[in-house]
Amino acid sequence: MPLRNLVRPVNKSIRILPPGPVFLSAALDPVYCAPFHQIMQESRIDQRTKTQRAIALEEQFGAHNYHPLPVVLDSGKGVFVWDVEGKRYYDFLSAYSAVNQGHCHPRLVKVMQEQAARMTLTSRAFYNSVLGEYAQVLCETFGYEKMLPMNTGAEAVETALKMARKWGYEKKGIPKDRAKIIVCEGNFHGRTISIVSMSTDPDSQGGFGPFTPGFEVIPYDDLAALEKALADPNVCAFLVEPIQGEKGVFTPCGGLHPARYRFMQGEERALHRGRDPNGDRANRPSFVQRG
Amino acid sequence: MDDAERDKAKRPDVVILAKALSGGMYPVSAVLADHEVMDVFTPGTHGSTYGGNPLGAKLAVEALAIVKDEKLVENAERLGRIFRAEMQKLVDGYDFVKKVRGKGLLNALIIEPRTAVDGAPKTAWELCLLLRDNGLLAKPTHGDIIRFAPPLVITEEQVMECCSIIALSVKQFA
Repeated sequence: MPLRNLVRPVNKSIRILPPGPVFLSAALDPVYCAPFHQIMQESRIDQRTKTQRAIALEEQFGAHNYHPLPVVLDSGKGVFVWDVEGKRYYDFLSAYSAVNQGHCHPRLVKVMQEQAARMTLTSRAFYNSVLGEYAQVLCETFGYEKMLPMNTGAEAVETALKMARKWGYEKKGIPKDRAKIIVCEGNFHGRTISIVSMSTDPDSQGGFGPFTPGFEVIPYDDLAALEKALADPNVCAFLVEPIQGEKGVFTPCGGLHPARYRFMQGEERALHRGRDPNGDRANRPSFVQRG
Repeated sequence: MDDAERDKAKRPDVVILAKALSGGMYPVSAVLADHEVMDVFTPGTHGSTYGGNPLGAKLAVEALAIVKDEKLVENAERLGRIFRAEMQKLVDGYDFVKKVRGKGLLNALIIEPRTAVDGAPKTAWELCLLLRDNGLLAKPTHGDIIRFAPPLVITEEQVMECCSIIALSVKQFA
């Protein structure tokens, strides 16, 4: 008999199961269960907790590229999350600060539901009715003229690297394929080949070579080292985190330092020399900040 | 150089945004720059199928509005000071609690790994398990650092309750 005839959706078969422990058929995809009589023959009562079952499934079928704390989260609201056993916790990780607005913020849930029902994806082959407004809000909020939308942080970092290099060739006049980007020791920007190429963490980098060339690492929050590195005319950008989170929450000792660096290297000095600050703008390395 | 130009000079040429730009709903990131830099991209030189999609775009607008409307930056600044002051008490009270550092509500507690009576290691991981048992989830970044980054919508009362949970866990860890 074909396998299709043996299986049916779990929510149908679950109705004929008695309350209490859930029956699982180890040989079948967890989404489907065999008919009841077959379950009785083939499987045993699973006495593990929901937590143990969820962890076991992830461990068995998921790649082991993370080492999660043993807690299985099921729902969230504001600062709280609940595990599959119903226990409540304060979330002091916030998905690495991605849920700073709190879990399932009602305003975001509403927008998510409404827009999901209206339209989700057009690709950039066409204009869509939302992107323009979003671009305007973002530019006005942060005080920039243009924005480029991406999806993940790593993609946005890759975008900035490409942009800085191209700017280096087209505007600064760096010879072809010689552009250099200064990065900081202990940086964390993501997991792509180019991004791990600039990493100083052996776990992030080990075994993934050959690496993307064109990065120079200097210590974090070290103005002297930065000035020295910037002396190279092939430098097109300096990439820096305002706070190094992954490294262990390091903040620069003098506050938000890109501004300090900028003054040191750029306009302030130009001002002191009485020159038009924009005159040497094209020769100044582009500063890239991640936040 | 007028004030506007001076302000412009104080900021980076390029800013990269992600994480909370969508409030945890869906991955949304963006790169900001002025014409001079951004215009190096011309049609066909860079892109992403999902980048700028209506769902992510609408979420990002709302997520940013929430940050402003609920004054999350101000809240983080104020409660961060309170949180670090409470953590400093632990630094002062326990030899193995080395340091608290951070900005706003993104902070880290640095602890010295210990050894249990049976010789088993006691690192930041074990402290995180105690925190979990006491109702607070945090993750070690290295063997000796625990990052504390609650959602910025947290209230002062909740921060104080969390400080008690951390204090209790540190006491049990000692």
